[in-house]
Amino acid sequence: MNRIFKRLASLPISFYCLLLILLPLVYIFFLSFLKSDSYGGFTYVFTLQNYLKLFDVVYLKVFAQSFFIAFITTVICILISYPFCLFVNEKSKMVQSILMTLVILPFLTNSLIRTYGWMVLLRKEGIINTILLNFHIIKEPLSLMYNNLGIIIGMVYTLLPFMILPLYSSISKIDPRYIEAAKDLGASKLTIFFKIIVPLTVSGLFNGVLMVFIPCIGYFFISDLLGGGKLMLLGNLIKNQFLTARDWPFGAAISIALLLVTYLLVRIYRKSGGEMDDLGGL
Amino acid sequence: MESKVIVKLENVSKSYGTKNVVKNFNLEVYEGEIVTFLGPSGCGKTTVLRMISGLEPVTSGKIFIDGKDMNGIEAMDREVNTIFQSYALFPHLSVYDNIAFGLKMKKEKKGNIQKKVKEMLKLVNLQGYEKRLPHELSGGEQQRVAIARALINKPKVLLLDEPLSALDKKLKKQMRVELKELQQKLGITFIYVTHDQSEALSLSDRILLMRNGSIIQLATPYELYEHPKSKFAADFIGDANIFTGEILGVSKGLANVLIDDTFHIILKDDGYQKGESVTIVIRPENMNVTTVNKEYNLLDVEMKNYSYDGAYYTVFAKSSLKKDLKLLLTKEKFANIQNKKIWKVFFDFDDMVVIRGNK
Repeated sequence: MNRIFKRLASLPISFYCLLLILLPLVYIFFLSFLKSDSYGGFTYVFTLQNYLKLFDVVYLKVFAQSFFIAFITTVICILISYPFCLFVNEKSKMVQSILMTLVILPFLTNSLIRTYGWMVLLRKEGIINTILLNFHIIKEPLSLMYNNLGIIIGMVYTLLPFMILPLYSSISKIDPRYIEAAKDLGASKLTIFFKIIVPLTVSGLFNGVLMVFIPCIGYFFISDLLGGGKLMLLGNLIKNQFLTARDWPFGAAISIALLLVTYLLVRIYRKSGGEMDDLGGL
Repeated sequence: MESKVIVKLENVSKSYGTKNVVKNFNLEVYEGEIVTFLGPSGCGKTTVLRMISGLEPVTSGKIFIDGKDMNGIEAMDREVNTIFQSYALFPHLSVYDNIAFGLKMKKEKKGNIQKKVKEMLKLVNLQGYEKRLPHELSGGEQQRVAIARALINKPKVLLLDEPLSALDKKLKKQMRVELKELQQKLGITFIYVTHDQSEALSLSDRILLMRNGSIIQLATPYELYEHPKSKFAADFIGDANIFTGEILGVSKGLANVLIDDTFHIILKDDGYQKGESVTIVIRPENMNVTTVNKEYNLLDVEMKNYSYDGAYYTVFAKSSLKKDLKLLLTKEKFANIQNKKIWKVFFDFDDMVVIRGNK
């Protein structure tokens, strides 16, 4: 009875995964080995050309740029999230839930719209520059967008909750007596952080890294809007292949390559003894 | 020989908001002794321990460790170490790294650390366990690691917060003996927190009995058991038959107490006043079953039920008194009364502890 119920209950989600995740993936995988023709279609001829094309310097550079932006974004997110989570964790239950709700609150607005909001703030004639100019703190308006800085601001802003949530979940699970024991044994605050807190929150940290790093490579609209389209990221490249260049097989190949990178990251983490408790095993 | 005071508490108080958890605590702990803080849960005993370790700030008063005022000195800089209730071993570190943690904090040389950890492992009988992780150890083994982790720092005082509460009964008794042996071997002062009175009695040099944040009595286990100074102390330590009554009169060096309006007990006079309330405590093993006829302090009782634990019989008996009596009898004495319906219990002067008042 119980087993039948479990099966039935998991039917919708299984159906959802199959139809909307697995099938499209299989389709993309299949597509990536096909030859594109000149009018945005493809012919059913097996080729590895799409994958070989990835090793072209132009595209390797896109990979490098994307990973660079994603890396910087992830590091900044970590640097903000740890102090924030430790701060929240010290507060009363009530304050904790209020603060965490505030973290999730931006999700109620579409991220594209929020990115437009940042444009209002960061432009040359934007709010930040206007205030700084009027207070004579700066003489010339700062270039806060249409460059890498703009992209990183946008990425960090959009992806920060994805670092905070798993990290907070990990930190709140640390038994406070471990910290007390470390203090008792003569550990300074910094030592406690690096020797106790970080090792005990590695799973949350890694989940956060995955959830920031991967989307960061794919969020093309942020680099389009805040980077002024000057910097090509993998997300932009994939989007362009599908929508502009209409070279679907090549777009599919990049997607598969990206998937492979993600998988490798998880493998490396697992190999080094990491657990994936917070995401229930990826 | 007068021992040195190693820990001194002067008017130490702790309150959370308006709640006073520890009230005006004064205590001197001597070097090399085991002092146990005993009391029901929530009596503030762990809070006192945490204030000594520095994990909890005092609200008022002063704490001295080895003569130094601990005001403003954080836990990491105090020469005491704690064994936590469920050990709090670092789950991500091996047995070796757990034990070495304190020395690494002191930036000792690697060779030194290796040597000392090895010695410690030998001391707690865990040779060859270096690489294991805490979750791969049994409760008793975790306990030993916790002991080693604290002792390796050569603390002036070792603070133990209910260290045996997570162990099963048999292991508890074994670890009790081991702890005491270890303490005698190393001569380190132990301050030990427990709510288990038998643990306190068997381990301590002195017991500090606490209730609601105050000291009820500070005495050796023998003193506390034989001469409790309050009804609470008598009741909390060991089993006791406790009667409260009123002095009816005093004459010829004897006092007459009336209990439950029915039973007269004669006591040796100790300057009692007529009408004064007294509490009389008799331990179950001191209850005398007698066939000899005495002129006073004889109570007719009837067996209600009994249990046999291998060495003694515990007998519950009813009488004209409100509360049932509890007696601990040898096999021979039990045989004497087993088949009698009504038999007599004799309250000897020397077996009764009298507490002035009814509290």
